[in-house]
Amino acid sequence: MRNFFSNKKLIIFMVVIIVIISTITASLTFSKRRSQPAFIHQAGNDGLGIIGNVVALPINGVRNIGDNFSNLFDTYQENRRLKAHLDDLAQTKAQISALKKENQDLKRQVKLNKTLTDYHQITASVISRSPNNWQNYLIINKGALSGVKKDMPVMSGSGLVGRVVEVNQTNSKVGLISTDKSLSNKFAVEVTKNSGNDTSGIIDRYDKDDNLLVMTNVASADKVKTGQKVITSGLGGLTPRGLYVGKVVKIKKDDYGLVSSIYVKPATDLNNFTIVTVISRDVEHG
Amino acid sequence: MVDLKSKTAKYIGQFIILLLGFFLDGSLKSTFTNLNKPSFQVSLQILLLLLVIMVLHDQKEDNHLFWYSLILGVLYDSYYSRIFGLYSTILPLTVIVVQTVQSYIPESFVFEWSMYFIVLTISMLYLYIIGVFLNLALVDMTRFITDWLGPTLLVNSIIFLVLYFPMTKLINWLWQ
Repeated sequence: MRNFFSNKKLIIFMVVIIVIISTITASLTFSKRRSQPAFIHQAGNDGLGIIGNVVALPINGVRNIGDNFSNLFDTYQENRRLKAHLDDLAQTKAQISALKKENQDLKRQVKLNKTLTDYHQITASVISRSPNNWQNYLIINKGALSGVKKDMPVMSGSGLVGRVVEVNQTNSKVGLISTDKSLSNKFAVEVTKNSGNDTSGIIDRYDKDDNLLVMTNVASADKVKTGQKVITSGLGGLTPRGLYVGKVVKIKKDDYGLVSSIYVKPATDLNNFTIVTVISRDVEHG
Repeated sequence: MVDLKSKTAKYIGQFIILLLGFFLDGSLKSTFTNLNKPSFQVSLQILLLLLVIMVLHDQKEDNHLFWYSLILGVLYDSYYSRIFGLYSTILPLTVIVVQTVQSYIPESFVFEWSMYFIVLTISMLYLYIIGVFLNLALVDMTRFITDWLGPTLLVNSIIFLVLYFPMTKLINWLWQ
């Protein structure tokens, strides 16, 4: 037994293992608790972000050329399809601007300044993506200087893709909703119906096999039908109301027929990002 | 004219090459979306690849590659994952292991590729085990092997094939 402990290498080995495990757990705990990382950590990340931007530039350039070529082949089909939507769009736009104006007037009348639906956007481009498979973090080129805060929702195209998990001065990390469990605070969402109350619930996990989001904690899924739209409900956290998440594709009851989960098809491809939009809610969180 | 074969130039040059690998890992992964499919998740490890080649072709005069790997490992964790102790463990350990077995490995593509293959497998397993331990990677072992480990080994081996000959030529020309 004395031989065992006098072995110097073994002791070094054990100390190293203890140090590694404690650093991992400590960094995980602190990163969850703090709203911004420590100064030196931030400074390091900012410096690396600047170099990362320079490296990403030529790579993104090559990618854009490739995208342009593939877009060229789809153009004709796409043009025909889009033309059909065009008239409808103009009408909707006109209607929305009229409604917006009316809404503003009404809000002024009841002296309501900001509501849950008011937000502004911060557009950022994706520099990099974490190589580690269970941490699907995107690194974007906007940070605290541009007004990004921890836990703000992030959109790409027309749909919700994730949430800001770490903010540095000039760049930040975005955790995707497709990552299994990284988002400790989930998104509160609701299914919009034409009539009756909206059904609210929480985006709980991502179904990897079918690429669907799973909405749980649903009070009653009685009148929910496939094809209905799912939006954020603005309850809790920093998420405003009315961000488009996706469409209902199926409703599944548990074995006892009591609790149901609603499967939602995300509005955007959760893999392909170059530009993302960080959503900043105008109402202070409550 | 700067002497490219001087010792300072070697230290700086090695660090710049490793730093390039550092950033390529992330930006290539974000650019090529085929690498991120749920059933084909590739974790690019170009930094690890360059480190293995560099250690295998390094004259063991001093231990600067170990310190490089430690610094880059800490930066890697800070920049990409915000959990310290993943790559800041893998990279220095890789350098130690490869330096230990260096004298047994002949200078040929197949042997060096096998070295990289083994190191890569172990580091992927390490990352997976930490992920399971922290309850962040919710994928069972079979899915891990087919969806993560397999594609990662495949794609990184192809990158090894592409990078091996130019890298060894460059290293042998400059620093030997």
